[in-house]
Amino acid sequence: MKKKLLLISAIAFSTAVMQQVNAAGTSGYSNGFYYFTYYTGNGSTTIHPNGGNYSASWTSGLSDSLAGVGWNPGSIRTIGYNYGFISGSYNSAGAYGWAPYPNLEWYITDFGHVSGTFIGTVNSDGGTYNVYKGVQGGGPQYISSRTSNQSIGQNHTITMANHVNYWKAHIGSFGTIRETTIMVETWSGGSGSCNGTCW
Amino acid sequence: MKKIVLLASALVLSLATAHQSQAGGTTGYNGGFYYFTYYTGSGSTSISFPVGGGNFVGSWTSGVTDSLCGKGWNPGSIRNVGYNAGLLNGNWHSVAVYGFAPYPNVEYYITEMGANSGTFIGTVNSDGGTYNVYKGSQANGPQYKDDRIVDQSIGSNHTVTMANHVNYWKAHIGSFGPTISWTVLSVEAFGGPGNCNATVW
Repeated sequence: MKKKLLLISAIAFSTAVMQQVNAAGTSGYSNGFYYFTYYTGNGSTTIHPNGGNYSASWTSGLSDSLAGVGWNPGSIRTIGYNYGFISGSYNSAGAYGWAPYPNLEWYITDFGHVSGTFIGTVNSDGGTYNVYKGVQGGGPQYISSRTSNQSIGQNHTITMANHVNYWKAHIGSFGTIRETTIMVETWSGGSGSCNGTCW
Repeated sequence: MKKIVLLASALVLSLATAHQSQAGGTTGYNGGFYYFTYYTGSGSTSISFPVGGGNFVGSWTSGVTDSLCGKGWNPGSIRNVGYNAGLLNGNWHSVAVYGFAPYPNVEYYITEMGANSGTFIGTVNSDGGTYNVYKGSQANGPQYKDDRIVDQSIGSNHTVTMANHVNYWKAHIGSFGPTISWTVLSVEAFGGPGNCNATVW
């Protein structure tokens, strides 16, 4: 989730506690795979899940939009995926989820970029990832961001264990995983769409 | 000799901080319901399902620093949670409707038995009782923690009308949802041993 949005939320929170960020989203299961959307601002994000495949689109005017599919409960797994296309406005695509103890949000970004406080680098799946620690809702984010984008329309693998081991050694604990998904996020406010498959 | 011991202690301490606190746990589905355990310390927590459905039996050994076990729904939702905590033995701290809502990074408790606290926000009336509402933190993220002032009874059916709590949180603490990761009935202990038998619906 985007930092500028958080800053705005923090300001809104401090000036008017009653003020809520307009937020919406959905989650559920399709043929054994978990799917979810989350979006804030003016507009909406739509997902069409079909097992491990999904298409999603987001309208312009959103402050933040996430849409993805995967597994819930999550696990430290080797994720196979293929993004057939990612069109229009997007900032980050890759593996994503949450882990509750401690209560953290995690990213392994293969397209685009997510950043925070630089921690180090980890090599995995033929590339180098910058590792960052960020903040969401006051809680920690563990972020690995691939320094050169993966290719669209081809099969790729994310070996989560390489990232989790690095995070545990250099950032902090990482336990039970709530969900493991592949996800496209945009916080630039433009419209866009994607089609992706995980296995 | 004393210096050497101190030095050794310092080394052990620095090694200990470099390592992670021991944590274990499991998650899955049984009888159409989601279940989870989480525990830290030198003990462990187990969960079993002799009856199935929304019922679970949890037990935690002495040596656990923190132990949670529970059953409910994943994805969660703002729902009326029916429950019956038929049995609570040994060391336990709280029985609560419990879960996470990810945007912002909220851990939430609606405590029915035992107590949870934090920074006092106000009170909310629901399901025949009054709850103190607190805000706390876990890993620097927010916790929304309601605590029923007079504990509910063991071995009777009860309801938690979540909407009453969520509406209060949204008005007085901050955002909540729409995504809710889990809605479970959870039994937490800060030591052991203990055990419980409870059902949700």
